[in-house]
Amino acid sequence: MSVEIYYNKPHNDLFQTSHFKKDIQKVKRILFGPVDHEETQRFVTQELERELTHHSERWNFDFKHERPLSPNGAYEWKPATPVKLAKPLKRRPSSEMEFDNHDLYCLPDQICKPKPRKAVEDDEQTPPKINHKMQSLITDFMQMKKNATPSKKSLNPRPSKIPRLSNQGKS
Amino acid sequence: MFEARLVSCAVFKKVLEAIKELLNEASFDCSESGIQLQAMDISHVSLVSLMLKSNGFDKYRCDRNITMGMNLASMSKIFKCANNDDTVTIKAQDDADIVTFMFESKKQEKISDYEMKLMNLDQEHLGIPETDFSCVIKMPSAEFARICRDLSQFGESLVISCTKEGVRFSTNGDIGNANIKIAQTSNFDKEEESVTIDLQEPVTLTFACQYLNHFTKATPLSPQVQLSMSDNVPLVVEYVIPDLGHIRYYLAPKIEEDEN
Repeated sequence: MSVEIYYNKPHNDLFQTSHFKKDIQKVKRILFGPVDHEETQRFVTQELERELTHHSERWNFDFKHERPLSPNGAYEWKPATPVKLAKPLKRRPSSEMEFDNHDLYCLPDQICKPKPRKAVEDDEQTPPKINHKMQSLITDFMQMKKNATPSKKSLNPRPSKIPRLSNQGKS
Repeated sequence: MFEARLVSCAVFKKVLEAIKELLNEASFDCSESGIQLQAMDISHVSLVSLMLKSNGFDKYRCDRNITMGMNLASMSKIFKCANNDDTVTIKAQDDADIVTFMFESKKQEKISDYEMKLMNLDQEHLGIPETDFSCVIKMPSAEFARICRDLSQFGESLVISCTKEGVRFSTNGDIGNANIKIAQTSNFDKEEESVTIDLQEPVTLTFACQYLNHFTKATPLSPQVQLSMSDNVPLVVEYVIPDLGHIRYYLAPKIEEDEN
C-alpha cells in the first residue's frame, strides 16, 4: 500500500522540498510479510460457516434459507411478520381475506424468548457457610420475673413464728 | 435513707468500667445485704449480675430497700471527676429522685458533691437457675483477657472446649484458624497465676467474641477469673471483687441452627 500526497496549489516552496518528499511519500505498510488473500478468505468463510452451523443447531433454524430446521427441535418457529403473498393484494370492498391475516402472526404468548442459560459456575458457587451457628438469647435459658426486688424474705428465710414442738410436748 | 461509703473509690470506678460497655443504664437495688445489679445487654444475649456486699463497705446504711435507676455513662462521668484514692459516699433519700455522690480527698481538704437524676427503669429481672456445671475453669484474668482479645481478631466466634487435658480456645475466620491451649498448672505457690480445671465431663461451646471482650473489662477487679460451663447453658464468667462481692457475666452460647 502506498500513500500519495497531492497538492492542488503548486507552490514554489513546496516544490523545492520535493527531492526529499519523494522518500517519505512511499510508506511501507506491510508489517507482517506478504498477505495470502486466498488463505484469509478461506479462513474467514470457514469461521463464518462454523458460527452459522453452531447457531443453526442451537436455535433450530436455518439462517441461510430462513426456515426452521426440524419440526421437533428445541424451538418452534413462527413468522413474526406476515408472509408475503406472491400475488399482491388488491383492495376489494367485500374481501375479508385482506384483514384476516392474524394466523400469519404468532400470538404474543407464543413468541419464545430464549432464557439465558445458567452458567455452570453459578451452580457450583454456593458460598461455604463458615458461621452456621446461631446466637441464642439469655432469655432462652432464664425466665423473666417482673419487679423482683431483693426482699427481706430472701434474707431471712426463717418464718417469724416457729412452731415450738418441744413446748407442745411439755404442756 | 441510703448511705454507702467506700474509702477508695477506685473499686467503684473499676466496677463502672466493667459494666458500662454492656449496659447503657441499670437499676441498682439497694437493700440491707448490699447493692445488687442485674441487667441484660440491649441485645439480650448476655446478663450482668453485680453484688456488692454491705459488709464490704466502710459504712453502710439502708433503712428501706430502694432501687436506683442510673445512666451509666452519666455515672461514669461523675466518677471521672474523682481521684482513685478519694473516699466516695453514695447517698439517697427514701423515694428520692436524685442520688448524691460525695468525694472527699484523702486529707479532707477537698470535698465535691455530685447530684445525679435517677431514672425510672423497667425492671426485668431474670431468675438464674442453679446449675451444676460440667466444668469450672479458674485462670488468671489477664490471661483470659489476652486470649479473648487475640482470638477475636480472627473470627467473631470463640469455641471453648474443655477436656481433661486442658482448655482449648479456638476461632475460625477468613484468614484461617487460631488455637490456644491451656493446661492445668501444678504450681501452687502463686494461686493467682495458676490454672485449675474442675471437670465432670468434657464440654465444647461456642460464644460471640464481642461479648467476651466486654466481660474482660472487669479484669482490673480481680487477678483470677472463673469460667463455668455446661452443655447448652449460658457461660458464667465470674470475677470476685476482693472483700466486696463479685461480678458475674452470663453469656448465651451460639447453637446449631437446626436445633432452634
